[in-house]
Amino acid sequence: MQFVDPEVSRKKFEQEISLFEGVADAQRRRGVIMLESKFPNACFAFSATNLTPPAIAFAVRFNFDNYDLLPISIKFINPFTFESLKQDQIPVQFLRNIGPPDQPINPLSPQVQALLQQEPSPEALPFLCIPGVREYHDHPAHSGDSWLLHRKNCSEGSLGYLIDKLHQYGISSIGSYNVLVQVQASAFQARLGLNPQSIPI
Amino acid sequence: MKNDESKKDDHGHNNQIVVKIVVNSTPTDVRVNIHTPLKVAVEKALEQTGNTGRPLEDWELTWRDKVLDLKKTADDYGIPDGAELFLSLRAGKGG
Repeated sequence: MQFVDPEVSRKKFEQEISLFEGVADAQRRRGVIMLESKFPNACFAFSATNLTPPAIAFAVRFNFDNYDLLPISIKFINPFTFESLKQDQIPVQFLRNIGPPDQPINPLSPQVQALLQQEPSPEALPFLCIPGVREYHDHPAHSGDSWLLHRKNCSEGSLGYLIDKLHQYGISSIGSYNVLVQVQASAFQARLGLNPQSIPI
Repeated sequence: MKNDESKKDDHGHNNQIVVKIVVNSTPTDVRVNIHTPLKVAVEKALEQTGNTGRPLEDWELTWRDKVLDLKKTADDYGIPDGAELFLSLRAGKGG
């Protein structure tokens, strides 16, 4: 339900898109491409440009309903059909290194935090669990961390900020393809391989 | 802008480069001495884009998908003239 004047949200949406367009070339060079922009939604693809062949690692839909009284929502989508995806359909893990920065990292160790979260319900969709994302602030576990504490604070929660964080945790540690082939089963599954030493802090 | 006289220091050495730093989608050109800690470039970028409300520790600078140590220099990382770097707030605690 839109309870902020739609023209206010639309104006802020247009400002954010315009800012992105000003650096679209630099973003494209690191694999971030805007697929569509139609208020209140903007869809972006994030690619691992260091792979051969390069891969669209994931895509998202940013939703600006009630922005910026509410933060931007992020949904993970199929980059071609724009259908929403579940966590097991996303080939990226969104890991964060919360341990000492200069120590070797095992992706399964407690010093690595999974930022892509999903409730156990079959209908639930995954979300990026960091402040500035609507789904983070809507979650009961974060009721003490209001969006209003972050809003207009050096652009935290802005489109540019969210693109930076999605790229940082989703793309920067990808180092290879991990391919799993089941012989005689006509099934093929490929995930993107992480370089454990590159998981960002 | 490459190799012009204005980039030479008092001894005639060309230690200056100009990099583009994108601060939360706002680009700004910053002149950098390649032997000076990157902290100085970050401070300039934040000042030029009006992002002065948060301490330096809240920001992180990335280049070619790597978060840079601000105590190191452009020379340490081999950052060339005209490079594009991204500066954004560190994500708050989540997960």
